[in-house]
Amino acid sequence: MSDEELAKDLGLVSALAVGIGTMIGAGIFVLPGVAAAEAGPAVVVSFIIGGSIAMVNALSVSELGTAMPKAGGAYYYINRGLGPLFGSISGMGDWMGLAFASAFYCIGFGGYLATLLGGVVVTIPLLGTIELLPTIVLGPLVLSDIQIGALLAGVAFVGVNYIGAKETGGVQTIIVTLLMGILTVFAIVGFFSFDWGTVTTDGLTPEGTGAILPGAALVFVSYLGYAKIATIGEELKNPGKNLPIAIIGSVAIVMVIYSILVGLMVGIIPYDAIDLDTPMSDVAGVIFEGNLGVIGVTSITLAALLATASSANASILASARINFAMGRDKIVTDWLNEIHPRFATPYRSIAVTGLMIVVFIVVLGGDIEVLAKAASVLHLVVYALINAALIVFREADVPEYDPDFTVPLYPITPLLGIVLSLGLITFMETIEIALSMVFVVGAVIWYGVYARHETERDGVLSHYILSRSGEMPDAAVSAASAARPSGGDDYTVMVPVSNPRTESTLLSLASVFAKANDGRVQAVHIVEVPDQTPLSEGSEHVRRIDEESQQLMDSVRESTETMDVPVDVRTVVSHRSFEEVFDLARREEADKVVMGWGPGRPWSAGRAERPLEELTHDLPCDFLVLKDRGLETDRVLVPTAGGPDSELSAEIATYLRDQLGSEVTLLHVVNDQESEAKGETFLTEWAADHGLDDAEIRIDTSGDVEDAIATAARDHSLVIIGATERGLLSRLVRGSLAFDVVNEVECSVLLAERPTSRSLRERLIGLQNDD
Amino acid sequence: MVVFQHVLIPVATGEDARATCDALEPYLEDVERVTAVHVIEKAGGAMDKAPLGKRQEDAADFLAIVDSELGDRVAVDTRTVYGTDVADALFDAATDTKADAIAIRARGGSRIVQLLAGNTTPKLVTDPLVPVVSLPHPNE
Repeated sequence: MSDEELAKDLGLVSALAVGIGTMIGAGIFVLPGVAAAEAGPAVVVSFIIGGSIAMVNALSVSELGTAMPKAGGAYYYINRGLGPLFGSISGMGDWMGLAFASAFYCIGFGGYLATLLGGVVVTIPLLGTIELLPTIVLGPLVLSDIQIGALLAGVAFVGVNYIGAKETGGVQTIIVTLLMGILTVFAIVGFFSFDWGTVTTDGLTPEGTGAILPGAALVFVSYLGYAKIATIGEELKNPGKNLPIAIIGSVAIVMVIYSILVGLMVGIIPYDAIDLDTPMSDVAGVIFEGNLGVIGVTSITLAALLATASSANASILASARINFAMGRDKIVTDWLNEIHPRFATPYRSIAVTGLMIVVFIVVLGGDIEVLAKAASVLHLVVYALINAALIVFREADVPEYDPDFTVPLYPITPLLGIVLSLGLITFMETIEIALSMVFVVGAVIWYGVYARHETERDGVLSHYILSRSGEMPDAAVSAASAARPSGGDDYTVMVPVSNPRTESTLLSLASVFAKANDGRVQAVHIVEVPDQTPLSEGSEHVRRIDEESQQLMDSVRESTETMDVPVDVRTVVSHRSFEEVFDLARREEADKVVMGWGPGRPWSAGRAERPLEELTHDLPCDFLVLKDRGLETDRVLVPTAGGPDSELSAEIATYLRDQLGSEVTLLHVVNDQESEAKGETFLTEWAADHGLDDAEIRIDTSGDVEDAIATAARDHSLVIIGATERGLLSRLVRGSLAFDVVNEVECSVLLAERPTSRSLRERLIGLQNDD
Repeated sequence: MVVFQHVLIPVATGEDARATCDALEPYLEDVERVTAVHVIEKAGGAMDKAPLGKRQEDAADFLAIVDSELGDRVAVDTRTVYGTDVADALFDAATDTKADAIAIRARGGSRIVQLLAGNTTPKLVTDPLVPVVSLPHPNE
């Protein structure tokens, strides 16, 4: 097996076990009593409705999970799709939702522990006897024996994960298999105690049909487990296939189990008499009477302990994944995710989550409904955002978004997911919604005061809105720009160089642009090596290249005039340097790329794995390509025919004028003498519009653009040409640039191309035209 | 005494990486090649105790330390391996890379920490597949 396969060792069965193991604890062992009291025998319908809502969301989670099998699950998708503001909400919501859910599982555990140990007293000499699980009164705070049991459990679960007890895959699968076995026996034996009369004593809906949906809101917490599979996406074997099967499969299996068992329960004990804390023990007492007896009841109680424990355990582990993903994006400090040197666990994250769980048990543990529903509300908010993120990914037509599994009936399914998730929240009590909203608002404030200044990553949504600012409603545009992250968004001018010795002019030029924008220059020495040279980190070869290059770059940096602009230098070793330029610009979120062109630069050969068109038609930022014949900037020529493409040329010209005192000449070509006056009016206006009023205006009436430029270039030292047609860069690579003028003139030429955002349709048509 | 030309060193943390490199320093004359290995413990079918991505990022950092400490003295290779048992994974790596020996700096720690965290040293020395050398602390 390769290392890659060993790293991803969760197969389908294990993934299903994680999903089922997390869900089954809560739904069946804790909630049926409370839910039946609320909804009557129709509680079965509540469970089915809750499960159906979970299923719709499970479809969306599956699509996003196969597109991005990454740690963090929901948080990751939402942060990428909707940006870091919603990322913060979902990360915090998911994290706190898990803490609420874990507290809820612990209370369930405590209930069964109290049943098992209830009334057991220990004798301590001199002090007399005390109960093993006493009720403690601390001023206004009353801790029941169940809460004491829950606290013990909570501390134990957190402790186990803090020190990282050795857990092997077998255990989880065995626990789930055992649970399913016990529940099957329970169902078969229970069937003989089932009495339709018990179900219908007060009619099927004694609490009214209106009680079914609040019942569904209550039991929804039973279905939270499937999302845990998504948080461990990067540990799954073959996630494209296994992730959707595990997520959808575990929801389906659990839904069937719940419906059967809850259906049986309301036919065995009247709905309003089922024990509220430990319903399964209560029912087991009835059905095992006269056959398995105490053994039956005890094994159900033990099963309940196992099930709630595995739910809590999986939730604690899942929350560490969410913290990790948030830390990576700097939404929270990465300090939280440090790994313990001996235990090899994310101990700080687990301790913080553990503290939350303990607080929730102590403060809210008296009312299991509040815990369950607060967990559900937070998760439902996250699910609504997941569906929104899915729609954004699909609509924004992100090239990297390529899910193996796609939701059926798009866009109905994700829209339905949003409506159902938000709809279900309305059936919660005010206190539970308010409690959850505290965390949502907290997350927004957190984003405003902390995360916004740290995180660098923009969402697909704001790119989509800001790049179409003309077509979008003003409110959306201003909201999107107001919510953008400000961390790390220094104005960055990237300079890829292949030979640092001869390309210092590029560095000077880049400094001018950086200076004008109070930004910095990122000089990257790109070293292209043959395919057969491995790039593995730390390999000797790469290290040597790195060292040499660093020295070279440092000396170039020192000897180049960079106008006191901060200049970072780094080295990238790559097989495909042309492609690397684009990847780097995207990764570093550069604002401009300044690169040289001509023989001796490996990227002039344009080697790329992806088709050239794909790279050059979707520029990550402004590209400035210098055909270098010595950089002299005293007399700059800017030919223009108007239009958006020469805006970048104008911008560059103003930088050169302001920073270096260059004299700028604008050139406009018209077809004949009669149009001269018109041309002059146009050019004067254009100059004024672009802050170039002081530039010399020149009108050429020859009608031949190339000749005109070549003639005018003779008394200029630099020509800036905006891309008048698409795909300037791809033409450059293929040597089919329409402008021969670039090669004819004797001074340096700077080609400028600004990315455009075009619809898929235009992009396809554009491609056809190019070929 | 035999000379081990190719030594495999396990690296658990950044500090461990530095300590092991320091301890190995006096013997580098006889060593031609060092393979540094970081083992990421897998749960073998359950959720890992720590996020995989974090462990992989850390692994690259730890291994880079060995490279920069020893890289100018001997040939250094680094690799990250996965396994449910750290000792087994190290022996597998030693066999794969044809290392002559595994050189360790025992991390010690109090008994309670060793009990809770598990201690790989006894497993490495009791049933070795290749010679295992325990490096002395350089200042003692």
